[in-house]
Amino acid sequence: MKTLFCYLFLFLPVFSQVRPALEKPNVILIFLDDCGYGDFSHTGNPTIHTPAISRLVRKGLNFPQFYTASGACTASRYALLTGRNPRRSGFGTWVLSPNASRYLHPNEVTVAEGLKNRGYATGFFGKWHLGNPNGNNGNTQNAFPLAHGFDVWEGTNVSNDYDPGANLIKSDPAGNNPISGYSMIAANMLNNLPIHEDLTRRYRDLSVSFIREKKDEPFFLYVAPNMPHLPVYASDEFKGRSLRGTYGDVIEEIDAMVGTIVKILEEEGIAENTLLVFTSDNGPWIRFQNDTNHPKYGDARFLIGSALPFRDGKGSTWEGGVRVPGVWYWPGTIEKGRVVSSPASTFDVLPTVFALAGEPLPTGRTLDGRNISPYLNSSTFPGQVPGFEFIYTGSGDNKVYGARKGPWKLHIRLSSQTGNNYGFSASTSNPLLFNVETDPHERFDLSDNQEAEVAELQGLINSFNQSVNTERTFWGNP
Amino acid sequence: MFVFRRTVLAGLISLGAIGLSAKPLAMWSLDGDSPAERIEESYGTTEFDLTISGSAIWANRDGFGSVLANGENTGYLSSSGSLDFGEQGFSISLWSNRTSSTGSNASGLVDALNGTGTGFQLFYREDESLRFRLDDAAGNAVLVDTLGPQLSLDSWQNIIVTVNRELDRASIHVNGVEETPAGGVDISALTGAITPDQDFWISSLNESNSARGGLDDIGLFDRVLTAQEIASINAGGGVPLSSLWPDDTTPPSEVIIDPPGGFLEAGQQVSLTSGVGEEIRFTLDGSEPGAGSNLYEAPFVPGNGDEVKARAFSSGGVAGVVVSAQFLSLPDTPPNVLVIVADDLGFNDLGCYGAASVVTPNLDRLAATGCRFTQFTTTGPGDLANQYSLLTGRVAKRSGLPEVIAGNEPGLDPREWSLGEVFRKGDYETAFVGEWHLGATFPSRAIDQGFQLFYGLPRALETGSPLVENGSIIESPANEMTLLGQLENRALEFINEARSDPFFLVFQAPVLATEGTSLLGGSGNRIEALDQSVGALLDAVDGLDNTLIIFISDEGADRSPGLLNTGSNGQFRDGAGTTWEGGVRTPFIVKWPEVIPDGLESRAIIWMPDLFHSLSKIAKGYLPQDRTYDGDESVFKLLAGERNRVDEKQIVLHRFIDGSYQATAIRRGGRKLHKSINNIDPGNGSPTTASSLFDVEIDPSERINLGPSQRSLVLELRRELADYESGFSGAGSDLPPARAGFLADPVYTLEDGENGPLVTISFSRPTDSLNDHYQIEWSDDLEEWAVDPQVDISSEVIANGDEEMVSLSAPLFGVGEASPRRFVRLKSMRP
Repeated sequence: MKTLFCYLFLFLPVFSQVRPALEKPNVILIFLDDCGYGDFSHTGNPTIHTPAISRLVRKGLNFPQFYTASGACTASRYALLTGRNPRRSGFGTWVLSPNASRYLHPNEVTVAEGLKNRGYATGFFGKWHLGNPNGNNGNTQNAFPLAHGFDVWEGTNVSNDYDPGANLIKSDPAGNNPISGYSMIAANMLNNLPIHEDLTRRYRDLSVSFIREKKDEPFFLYVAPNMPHLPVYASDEFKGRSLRGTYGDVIEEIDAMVGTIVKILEEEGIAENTLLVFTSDNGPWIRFQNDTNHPKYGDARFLIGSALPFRDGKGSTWEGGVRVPGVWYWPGTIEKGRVVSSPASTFDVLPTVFALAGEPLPTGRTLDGRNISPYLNSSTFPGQVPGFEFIYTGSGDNKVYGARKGPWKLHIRLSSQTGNNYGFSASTSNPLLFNVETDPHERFDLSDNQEAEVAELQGLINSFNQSVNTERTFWGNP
Repeated sequence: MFVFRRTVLAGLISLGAIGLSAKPLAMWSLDGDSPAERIEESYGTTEFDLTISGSAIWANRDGFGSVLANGENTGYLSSSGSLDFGEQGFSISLWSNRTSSTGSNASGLVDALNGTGTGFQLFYREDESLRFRLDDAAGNAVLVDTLGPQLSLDSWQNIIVTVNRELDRASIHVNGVEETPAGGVDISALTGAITPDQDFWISSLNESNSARGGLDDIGLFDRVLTAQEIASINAGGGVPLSSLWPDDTTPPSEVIIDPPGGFLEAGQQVSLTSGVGEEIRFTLDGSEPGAGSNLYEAPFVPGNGDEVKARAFSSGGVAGVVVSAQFLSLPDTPPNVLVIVADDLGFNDLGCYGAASVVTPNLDRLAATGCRFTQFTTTGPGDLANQYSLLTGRVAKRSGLPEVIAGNEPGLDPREWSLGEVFRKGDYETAFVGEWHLGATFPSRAIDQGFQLFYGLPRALETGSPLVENGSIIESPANEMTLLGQLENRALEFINEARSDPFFLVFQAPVLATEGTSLLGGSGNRIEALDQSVGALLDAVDGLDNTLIIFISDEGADRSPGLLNTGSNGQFRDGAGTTWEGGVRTPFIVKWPEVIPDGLESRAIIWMPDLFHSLSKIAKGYLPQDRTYDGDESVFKLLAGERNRVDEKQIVLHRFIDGSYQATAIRRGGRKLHKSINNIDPGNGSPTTASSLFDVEIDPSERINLGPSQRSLVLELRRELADYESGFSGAGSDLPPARAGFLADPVYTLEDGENGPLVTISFSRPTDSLNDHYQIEWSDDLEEWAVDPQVDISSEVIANGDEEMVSLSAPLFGVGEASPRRFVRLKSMRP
């Protein structure tokens, strides 16, 4: 009798973990803020050391051509969570200020909502930036994450540098600050050094607890660190750790966070049940790359990442604004060391994870992404991934700036927060055309010689505009 | 929360002058102007991190400095070190000044007991007597109480607790007077260790209702204080512990690690030495050595890849600087060595270095199973310059060579000692397959320089070079479209032939026009084709036991204006032809199964000439000591570690200007000074060609000129460059005079061997000679001489510095049959 008891005791925990790898896999999205393509070991950074992310690359899938949807925070977060082009958001802006009246429309279906439908536990730790309850919107609940499919949230409402208005908040059934269901951890945190230095560690610990708590059920975890958005801070443990100064310390702390999350998955025996996607919201904020004494950021020159070999950075539709790391990790399903050289984007996240979870795509709206699961493993997920088409939107109201299909990219407008157009100009009638595979730095305009490609991309832009104008947004006209 | 770290030495140091023995285990004076300082100024030696929790308030006390004025505030200090007195005696001394009576609750002084576990607590009871509670790990508890109330409001009291486990007695002294029963309280009920189960808290036993007052000058002793010590502490109304046990702040000497890192022969020991009376603590895992780290007692043998970090501690407990050394054990059998040199392949041109449009699965696999370096630097532009550096460990400025050898003009000085010779001298099979830049004629060809096999281009492809094997032309000119495949096949053949001997193979393919399907086109096709060839070579050596593989590029990607489909140098500015980082920083991957762990990434600063020393060491070949080398062994010292770098490594970058190699930039640690700048990439964004200073670690793109704010460093580096230039006495000037193949005439002897007569030729020759350069010739008539390849020659070599004695023996065949006599002679073909 005693032997039997021991037997049951020893094996019981195993029974609770035998969900087949492909059945409702857990999904973890790690979405950085303002890092550059080149800020990681695997993307060729010489002095920032990111062994945990490199390990994901070696054991998982790397997309050397991965796109975020927009060069700015709100727009790219909208696209990640809805799979839709920011032009469809109806925000009227690419960055929602703390006082903006609009927010993520309740009719939008987010990754969290869809997975919650399938019985997932949903947790979100990090920056929201898809609306803020305020006097202009009647302090609506709809402006915050719990109205959009998340069971729990702790993080900042907007970017960490709003002054005032950057608040660190958590969901709290008993709370009522700033609105019911939430409580304030730190208001106006821009100059709150202890809070700031602790942000990445905070998200790490919250993620670890969430995973441990939800390990027996399918879960969706969205981790959106505020770092390395200016001002950048590392915790004591990471100060001085990298050769790249404070900015490098911050990235290395994020790398360690990724490493911890993966280690917990392994410890809990659920690594093979979990798809992890590591990417970022936009390029580095090179607007401040020459500021020696910025009122909020100080000597910002060394505190900004690098998009090189791509041109420009955050806020731009040059490749540097939207090319980001794209690492997908799912041991057992994604084979080790896989490299998919075809482009993919954050638009593809929602259709892919919905397919994996068995959730139908939301109807009554146009989605801009594809189910790219065949890229993860072509025998487990047979089928053809549709060709890559990408509409670049940008500055201000998410207007269309360009389009990419195959290797070809058309610019019909240019924008850079540095004010530098690098000797080029572009308009609908006189667009620029680059082959961004043979010429990743966009040096050689080929629009004069490649009329067919120009015409095709112009057609793509026209039909996109037509689609948005006909369908409109949940807020009305785009 | 503020945490300060100090380091303890729980040593046994006699302080004879005042008759006190060992210092306290920990002393906290709490003096200073700020909370942070008050913790830092805990002059004692302690391994315990002291932390301020809550909102401690502070006051001052004449003669003692500041005081933790705890009371109604809930602030307290805690020390998170692992305090463990085991079954040994210990003592606590502190000063307390109560400003209110206890009230209805106990009030704590110090607390290292989590209520239910093991440890101790010292507190005033409700009746204002003092109680010391002791709980051991065996679950026994005893209470040591003073005989009556001890509270004396608004005055400083010294309280000393002593726990004597040998005599099973514990006492409490107040102001030097024993207040427990004379001789102490019986604690024989304790049988186990006193191992506190929580941090050591100072004043917080009852946070919510602690008595008001102050605490000061706290000492923990891992022994029983003597009556004399208790009296000394209380002498004249009280003496700060710091004056009884003054802190010796003299730093200890720097530990000398011998040997200072690098390769170790099997069983070779490492010794550590420092000053007399100092203790050495060390670690092997890269962590900072602390007082609790391994105590050095005797020489030891580090494991492969171990990094020894050591520091001395003075008798006063002051920690010295940390010194470190990386060790690598050479396998008993010499490894095969395959060096693959790419041409103009940029830092960002491989998948594992972030290429966006180039796919290189084979090189990615190499990196994933080896070590990927990110701060490898060439010596500056030039295929010839870097090949010279790779093969001789010297910068091309020392060679006297031009930028390109286009025809039959003289090449490498035969007095140079090349890697080919190094490996050949170490009994390797040697081959060079690819593009040779160091001279197409004797004595500068690869086959004159220690390579038994040369297959490839005897001079640069663009000079219309033929394809040759050793002396024979295979096709002329070489066919660019088929060349890579030809080189690959010949290299594979060599590897297969050499299977039984260790081999040294350099595979150096030139830039070739290549067709392919790379997304990048052009240079992408070339790189992907090279990746395929690398894959074939990797497959070929995969089956061999012990092969060291090195992949480097001799220059960054070419970013010339208008160049389409060009490679990428990532974040680095500009490219080939410049001494911007884009020109000189290239991929560098090393794989050595069983020696180098998988998937390492190293940010160590290393450069091309370093490879020579490291590889020489592996070849166990001869290394002349008579010339200047520009590299060192750092490559392999650093192999074990992502955590390692040589902070102040200095390298000098050169460009070929106006007919000679000139130093144009110097790098020391992260800083790089450009003396003269050339810009090739019009998009490189450089505003200047003027001298500028960059931190290429924090600012890899060399954007921000630090020169204006760091004038003294600029001047220092300029001076360094000037010294370098002025200390340079001309190409080849440090090489020894040319030496003949025979330092004395050979001596011939004839003796009877087992199978007939045996000729032995004894001679002395320069140590930098190879057997390959001597041959025995036979003749019947002194007119026609021939080499008989059937003859089995045995040799014996005894090296003595730069000379060696050689005896060659060969059986004498054919005498007495067709011919009554035979002549033998030894010929030197020493280049």
